[in-house]
Amino acid sequence: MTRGPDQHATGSQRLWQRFRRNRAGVVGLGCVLSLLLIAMLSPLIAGNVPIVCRYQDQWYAPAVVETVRRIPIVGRIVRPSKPFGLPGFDAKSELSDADTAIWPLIPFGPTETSTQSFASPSSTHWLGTDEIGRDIAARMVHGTTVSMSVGVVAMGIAGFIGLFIGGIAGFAGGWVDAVLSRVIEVVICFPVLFLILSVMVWLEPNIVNVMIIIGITRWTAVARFTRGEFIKLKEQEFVLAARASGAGTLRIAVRHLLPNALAPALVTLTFGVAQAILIEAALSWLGFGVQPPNPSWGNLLRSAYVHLRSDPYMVYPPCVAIFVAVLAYNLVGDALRDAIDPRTELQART
Amino acid sequence: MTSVQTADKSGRRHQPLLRVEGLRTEYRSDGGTITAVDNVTFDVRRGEVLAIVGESGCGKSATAMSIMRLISPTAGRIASGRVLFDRDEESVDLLLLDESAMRSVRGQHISMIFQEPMTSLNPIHQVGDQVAEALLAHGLANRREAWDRAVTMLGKVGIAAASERARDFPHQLSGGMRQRVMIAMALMCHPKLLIADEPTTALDVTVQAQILDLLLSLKESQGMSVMLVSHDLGVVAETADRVCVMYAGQVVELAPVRELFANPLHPYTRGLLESLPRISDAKERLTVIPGSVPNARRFPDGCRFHPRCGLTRELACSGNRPVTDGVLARCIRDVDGQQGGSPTLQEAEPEHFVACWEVPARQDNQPESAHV
Amino acid sequence: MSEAMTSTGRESTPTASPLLRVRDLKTHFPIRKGVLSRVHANLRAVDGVSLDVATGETVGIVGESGCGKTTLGRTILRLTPATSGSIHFDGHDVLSMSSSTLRRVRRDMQIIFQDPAGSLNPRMTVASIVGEPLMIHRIATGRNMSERVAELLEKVGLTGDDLHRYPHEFSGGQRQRIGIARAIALNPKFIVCDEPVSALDVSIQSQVINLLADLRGEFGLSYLFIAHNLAVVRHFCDRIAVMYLGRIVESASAANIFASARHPYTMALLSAVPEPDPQRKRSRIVLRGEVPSAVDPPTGCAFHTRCPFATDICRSETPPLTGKTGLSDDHIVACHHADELLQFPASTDHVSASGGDTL
Repeated sequence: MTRGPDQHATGSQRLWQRFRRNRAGVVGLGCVLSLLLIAMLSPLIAGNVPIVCRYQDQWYAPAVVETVRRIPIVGRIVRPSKPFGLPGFDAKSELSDADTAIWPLIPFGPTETSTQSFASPSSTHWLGTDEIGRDIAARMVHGTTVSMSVGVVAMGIAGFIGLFIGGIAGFAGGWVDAVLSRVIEVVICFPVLFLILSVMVWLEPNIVNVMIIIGITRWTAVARFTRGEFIKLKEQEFVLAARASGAGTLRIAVRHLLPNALAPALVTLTFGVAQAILIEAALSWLGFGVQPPNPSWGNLLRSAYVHLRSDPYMVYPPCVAIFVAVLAYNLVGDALRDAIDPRTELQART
Repeated sequence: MTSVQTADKSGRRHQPLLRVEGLRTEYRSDGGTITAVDNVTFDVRRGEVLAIVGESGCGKSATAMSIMRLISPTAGRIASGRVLFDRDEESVDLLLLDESAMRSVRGQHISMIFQEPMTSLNPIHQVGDQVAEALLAHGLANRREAWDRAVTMLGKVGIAAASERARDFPHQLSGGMRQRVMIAMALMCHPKLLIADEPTTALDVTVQAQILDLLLSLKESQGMSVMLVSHDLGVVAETADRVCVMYAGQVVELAPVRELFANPLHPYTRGLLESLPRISDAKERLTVIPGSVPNARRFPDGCRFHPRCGLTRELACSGNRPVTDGVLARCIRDVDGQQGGSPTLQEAEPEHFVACWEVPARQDNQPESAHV
Repeated sequence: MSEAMTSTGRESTPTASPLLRVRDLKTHFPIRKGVLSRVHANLRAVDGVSLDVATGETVGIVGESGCGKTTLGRTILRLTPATSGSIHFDGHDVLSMSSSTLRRVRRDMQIIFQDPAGSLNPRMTVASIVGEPLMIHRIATGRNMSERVAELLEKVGLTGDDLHRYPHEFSGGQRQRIGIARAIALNPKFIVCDEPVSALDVSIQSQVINLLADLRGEFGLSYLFIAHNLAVVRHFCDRIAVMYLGRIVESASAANIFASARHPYTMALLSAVPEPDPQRKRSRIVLRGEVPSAVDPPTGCAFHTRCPFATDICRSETPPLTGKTGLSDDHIVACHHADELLQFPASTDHVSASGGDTL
């Protein structure tokens, strides 16, 4: 007898067992995890400060500090590692060859310029340099941070709003549902890109605003799925059983409905991340997203586009990155959807 | 094993209409195979109602689906066995037919009706068209003729004002009416065998009574055989001529209906019959079969019923037989200590077959009569 | 519905007041249509039911799908809002009580569902499913709670090892046992069993029925036992009420229903149940057609469209649910012709009004 699924697995373990059978999904998940890892560790992969070094008889870990400082809230506690964080301090010239230093894989900062502009890919600059001599590989790595955080944070916001509004609409029903459903429909009708463009005229175009605006316009799909799930679930007998035991409204919503509605919401959110990445790239391309000199896939593509005829090598990295990221998230979303759909379970009809 | 050739005309009468031999069907499942039907052998005689009875997961529906070869290749496969069917005076193994030959058998020679009449009918076509479809598919009539015959057939299955009802869509009909339409569809080409998979499970008792009566009277008037798959021993007792009891993918007992209910030999059948609450007598406490229905992923070794079997426990207590884990060793292992197979189906009384180590086979067993 | 009222007066037991007293209960579901979702009709799921359940008594409700038996059970527990009528449980007026009183009263009235899979939250462990009622009513916490839950599981034939497993790891019968453990967690006085064994395998049904019977003996429980399987009801119940289209058409002690059914519907129902005994070839009363829609029930006696004995009066007048001559005191029937049907005991061969559906 061959191995069957573990009968004692919890819900999430079974989900993983089913997910694993979808090979494309697993590849997608691998890509997504790698991208997230790159995004989180970008200063350790590409930067103009060393990971660890001995400078003036003291040990420093400037790139590690920089990585930690980017974690929200916790990062605030850690002070920048002086003198490496100070403006105008050039670690490369200050550190002599005699000093011990471990440098990132790509020893260039995302905004560090050099005299070599339009350098073709070489062993020094793996993906070449741009018009003012910035290393494209380093900018790509730091651009990953922007794209991933826009995708994840924007969908975090969208997920929260969607679960909340969809949950209330589905749980309350009646006129509350009617009103909220109309609200959802109105938001669906917004052409997101144009809305963002018009809002960006008033707001400062930066990454945080991009995240927020994508988040507050892309929650409708989650809300609709959650509403449907809640409506379906609240008729289930286990909810009736909880009511018969005297459970209150909040308990039923939080303990019984929400955990069962999370999986479908997660699927929608995964597809949403791919969408958000595309929107961010489009905004940055148009100049309304991440502002130069900060790198993002979108504005890298923009600057490559300007020099497309003379220096076509610049256009490939951002294109490939956007393509891979969007495809990977969609593959994961597909596999996740199949894994949570009980109909995909091959069951013996006996 | 004797090969079944096309016998001469005189021998035909005694040949069964359908003979299933050593059928084994496997389903794919999360990371493994499930043997839903394991070495199942039985036959369906001309003009009889053979009931296949068992609990969920015993393989009764899988057996029916295998005979029709309706198991989708993505879901599973028929691993071995033969399904000999007497098609137009010639015995053919349905498992060896190519797909187009099999299609012409389905509907024309063997028909099937399912438990859920709502999902078995296409919601966007008029029921008359769906009933006529079988004739058109097999090229047996033109459109007009097929429609007329469909209306006649709807009348035969007890649908009043059949010519008007034929223009209805499935959702306009009640559950019992839909099941009647399903029966009409199944009988359009006058099949010799009707496989009815839990035909009344979704219906209320009063409607169930109507449908069962209808099936029996149609069986007589059309001269066909019926293979009735059911979990309801009451339904089986009232409709079947012979009963085949399945447990955990295997046939455990096969006998004429009166014999089976009067003299059940397998401990499972006996336990099942004793555990039923009956209208006719109210008992204080019901007898039970302990334990739960085994999961097809992990059928017990040896006799698959041994973990729930009262007989083997009782005999184990008598103390003069080898015992393993509180049951007779024989029920788990072979004589030579090997991890045992299940007992095989043997004739214990005339026409009464049982698969239990503790039920002795008939002594005057003739080789020919070993063929069920 | 004064008929129903009169009938119930006869039913009162010698003891003071029953544990549960339902009077002329109606549960109608509005059917909305159109853009403005106006109510254009009512589905009369329960349409004037009166019944009593005494302490320690088991009352069976039988009927075909759509007769309102499930809605009746849920309305009694106020899981479905009632349209009119009254429900008194243990001296409390269930329909008018405040939500905080209702919470308290719900400790004493519980429910077991038909579908053991659907009635357990798939994302909760057995410990939290069975412990939830204890937590809601702050009866036990922490270690106390796990001990109590383990104790409950042992009561229903499971073990303490099962505490941290999820519902999908259990078989149907075991899941139903978990549902039963949850229902008895608060030491209730009364449990609505809504088809508790219909979804189970034949060999498992008897196990669960025996368990329910044991618990009845141990805790002095009263049950409202809803079922469509007459054999199970016969075995398990003290008194049986037969429902048809939202109303009780006949009610009597279990033995009397089976021995001297007087309503043609009860007779047909009894004769339609297949008996697992091929020796007994009885003739059936095969009813014509199927249960009409509860949205637009037939006038007069709701059963007249299928009744082989229907006459003009049946089409125009609703028969009262009352006692009949020759029947024991607790036996009440809603049929104009119940007295004439005396000579047609259900078990003998007679009318076989077979034939197809007529519309």
